[in-house]
Amino acid sequence: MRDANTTTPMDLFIQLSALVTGFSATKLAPGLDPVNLKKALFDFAQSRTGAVFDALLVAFQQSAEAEAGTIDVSSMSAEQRQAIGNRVLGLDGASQDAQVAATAQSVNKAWYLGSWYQPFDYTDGAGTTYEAGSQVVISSQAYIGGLAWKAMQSHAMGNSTFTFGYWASEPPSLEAFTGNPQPTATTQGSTTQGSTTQNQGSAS
Amino acid sequence: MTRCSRMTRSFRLNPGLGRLAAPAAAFLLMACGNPAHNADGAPKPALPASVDEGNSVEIACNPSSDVGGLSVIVQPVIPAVPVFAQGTGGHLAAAQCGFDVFSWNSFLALSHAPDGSFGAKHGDNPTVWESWPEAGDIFLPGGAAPANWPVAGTPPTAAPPAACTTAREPSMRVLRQIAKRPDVLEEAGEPFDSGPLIDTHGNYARFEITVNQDMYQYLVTNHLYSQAGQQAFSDAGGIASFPCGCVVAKSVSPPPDQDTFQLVHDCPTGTELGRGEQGQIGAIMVKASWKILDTAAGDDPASFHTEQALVITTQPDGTETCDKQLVGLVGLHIAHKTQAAPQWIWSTFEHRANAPERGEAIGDCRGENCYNFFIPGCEDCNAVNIAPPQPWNPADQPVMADAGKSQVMRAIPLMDATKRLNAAVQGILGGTVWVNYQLVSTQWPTDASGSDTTAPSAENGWCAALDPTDKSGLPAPTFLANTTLETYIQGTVPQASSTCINCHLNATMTAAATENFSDFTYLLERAQ
Repeated sequence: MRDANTTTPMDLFIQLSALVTGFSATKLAPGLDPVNLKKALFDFAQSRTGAVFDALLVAFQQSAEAEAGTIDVSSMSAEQRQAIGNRVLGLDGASQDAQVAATAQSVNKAWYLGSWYQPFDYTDGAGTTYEAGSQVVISSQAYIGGLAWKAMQSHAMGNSTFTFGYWASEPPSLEAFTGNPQPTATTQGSTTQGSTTQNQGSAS
Repeated sequence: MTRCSRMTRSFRLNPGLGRLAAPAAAFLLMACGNPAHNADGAPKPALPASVDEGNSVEIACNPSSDVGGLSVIVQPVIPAVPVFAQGTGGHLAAAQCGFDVFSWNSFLALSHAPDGSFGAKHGDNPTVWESWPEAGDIFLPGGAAPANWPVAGTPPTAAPPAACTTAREPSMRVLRQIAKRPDVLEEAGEPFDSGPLIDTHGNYARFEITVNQDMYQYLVTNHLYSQAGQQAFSDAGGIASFPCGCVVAKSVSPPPDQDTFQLVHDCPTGTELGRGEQGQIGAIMVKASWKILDTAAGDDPASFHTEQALVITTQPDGTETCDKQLVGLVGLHIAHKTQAAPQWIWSTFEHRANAPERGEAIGDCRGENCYNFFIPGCEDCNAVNIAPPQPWNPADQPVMADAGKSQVMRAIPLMDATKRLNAAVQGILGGTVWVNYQLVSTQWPTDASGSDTTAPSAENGWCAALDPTDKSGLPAPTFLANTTLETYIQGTVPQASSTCINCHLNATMTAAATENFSDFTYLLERAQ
């Protein structure tokens, strides 16, 4: 993790994404990343939400530093992640900007489903308007790399990276897919990492 | 470096190792530095009639530093593993560079003659990989057992095909396939998906696959050459796992960097098959594509690696004809299974006159002799990268109509770094035919094992584990195609376009072995 002085918008996006999805940052942004899905999603989200996307990253950074003193999700406690997640997703009843919160939820959906759900009406610099609620598949790689398949401990339809006959064996653990420990306890409103995602995902 | 130099001298002064054992023994030098001098500074003994032997070129794989470059060296030393420049960990381009250097060193080593010479025959030479057994030498009729290949012995070859009345001379190629997959060979008159590659003079390209000693002996030892053997292997719980190239840590130069893509686990040493003091070479398979050289039509054999081959063609009535023809190498895959890359490392090379890149300016050249598989300015040619229209009948060639020929363009341009690397290496290959070949790219797994930390051991061929959540290991580049071997499936569409690892991840044994995974090779499907 870079220090605060060199934190880039992409750093913030990766950590924000790790927070809302429940997958580890290293799974979302591998050190050697030939597909570079993070950049595809970053660019797409920014192109469809403009300044609101930038505001989301700022909101995440401020919340994370205020709550945990760091933006590094892997070093946060479960309670800290829950609190920050609720803040950026607009689930804590605080005065979070509605468009920012909706954009955070769309980012979460983009990672899971490979599709972009337009969070609010937006007209870009070229004059193209994207209506709230419209939906588009971001790319074939975004579809294949959707976290929903991994959360299912499976693979995208039509694109298996297992060997022939894999269906006769137990799938790898959820932990192997997410890169995070599986929940050891779940209580309403307070969970360990992993189930945080499920709660937030259903809320969004 | 002393050990490395001693190994070099030992190899070069001991031609009695045999025409195939020599390169296998010499792989142990792979991690050593400049081979131009021995440790005492004295020039190395020159190989007889060698061309450019020992020449090297330094490649700066770490642009942020002027140290720690890698070398591409003209030497008969098959690298067991890639090495990487220091301080390049986590950098995709730098890692790619290390793999590309590995590819070139592999290509140059395999392009040496079995006796260790290079370019000694008017700039050309028979090659190491051509001396290895071809698929037809392994998967025999009726599932018969092929012979063993002794450590320092001559590789076994099957009897010449009955159709060939011409005596098969030593090292003469026998070329059957008119496409990469065997079903095309066996069902040449039937519809199939991919389609043949037909050059600008109307002749069908030919294909073959050879395997090195490590891979061959694994197949033979485990009886995987027959369906019955595969069934017994599977019934006993066997999972195909060819041995991996590996080196012991102390022999790695530059030293392993924890930040680079380089695992150094235990690795066996010894005098057994494929091993030496510094590790083992691992399984290698080579796929080659050849073009019939039609000198009357304008082909220039001097620009190709050539061989006299027995070219077998299936006739409409099912019989075979066998013709002795001069063929030129136009494409070459080298797949090498290594400890840190159990998905194999896939290097692919081509003759540089095969086809233009899509989008690049076509020069003034017009007609059939500008490229091997593209006719510039052709108005009645087939659509680009679309298989020629059926019927496909290799018994009726050359194809006269332009519309019946392949019109090929490279769909994915070579990376700029690869172009620079090619130019640098070609700069030390002058005077040989090998200067006319270029690396297209190298595909490798960026995350081979994921969370599986199973240690390499004798039981798994000294290989790291496959990532259980993504057995492809997230390859880079994502797509890779050779215009002669994946002609009609170039592109960037998942599950439709060519990607070595993801495609070969689907490879299985025969139904007799319940189609169990065959460790990234389709060869085992040929067992009878």
